[in-house]
Amino acid sequence: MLAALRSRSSSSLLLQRWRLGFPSLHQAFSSSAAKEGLLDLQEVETVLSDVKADDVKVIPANKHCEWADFMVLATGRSTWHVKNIAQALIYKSKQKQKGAQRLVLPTVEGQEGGKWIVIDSGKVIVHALDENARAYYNLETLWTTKPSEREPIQDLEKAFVKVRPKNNSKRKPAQKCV
Amino acid sequence: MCIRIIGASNRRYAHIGDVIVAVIKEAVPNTPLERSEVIRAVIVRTCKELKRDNGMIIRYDDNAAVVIDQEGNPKGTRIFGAIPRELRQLNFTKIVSLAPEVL
Repeated sequence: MLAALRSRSSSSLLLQRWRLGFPSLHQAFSSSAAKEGLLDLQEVETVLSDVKADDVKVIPANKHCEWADFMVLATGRSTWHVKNIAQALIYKSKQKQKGAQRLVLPTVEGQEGGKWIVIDSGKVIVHALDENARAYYNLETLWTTKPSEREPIQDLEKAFVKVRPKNNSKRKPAQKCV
Repeated sequence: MCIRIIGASNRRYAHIGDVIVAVIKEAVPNTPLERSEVIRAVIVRTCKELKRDNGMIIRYDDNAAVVIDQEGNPKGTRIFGAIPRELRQLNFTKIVSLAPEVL
């Protein structure tokens, strides 16, 4: 029975390790991608200041989610401006990889609309938003207030550790033998 | 209730990351969405297992979708529950960035 218990606890440990192992893997992947030519934080900031994006905010998102390191928020004055921010970032990454055999371009979402464009360049994710959209989605508060969201996950971890009640019916004869 | 899967010809079931046209069968009162409204939505959780290349299998307890508009912006401002990271590869980064947890 004890052996069974031990194996259970070790399996939960394994599970935690499995969960922890993932971000490191992902970071390794993203860092290699950065070498290949995806934009890093300084370049993003310079581009955003060049195109005069308003109210640029950089939020380190390591604790919030393991799939990205930095969230960059920028506001555009109009849909054209928002689209231009996205275009400038793509142009910059193309310039960076000039002469390379294969271009690695950041994925862009929402380019037709121009209200909210996400440029996903590996570990830095740039959100270019309209003023209304920025007020509506309120991304800053989502990423800056986290500890309250972490609580249910702690409960989940406890639930994994929870062990079955001991079955005494089989244990008693063993004690008699000893 | 799902009416149609977008970008699929005569497919019976939608999987995670598919955009569907759906109708709202039930709605909470005093919300922007009403009953019997036709919307677009992205499937984010399914009871049916999702297989990954590394052998991992993910399945959720419920089927869930996120309501989006024509441009792909989510109608709501927050997303509840876990989201698979396949959605990022399928170019739904907005939904992934709103989610509290990414599996």
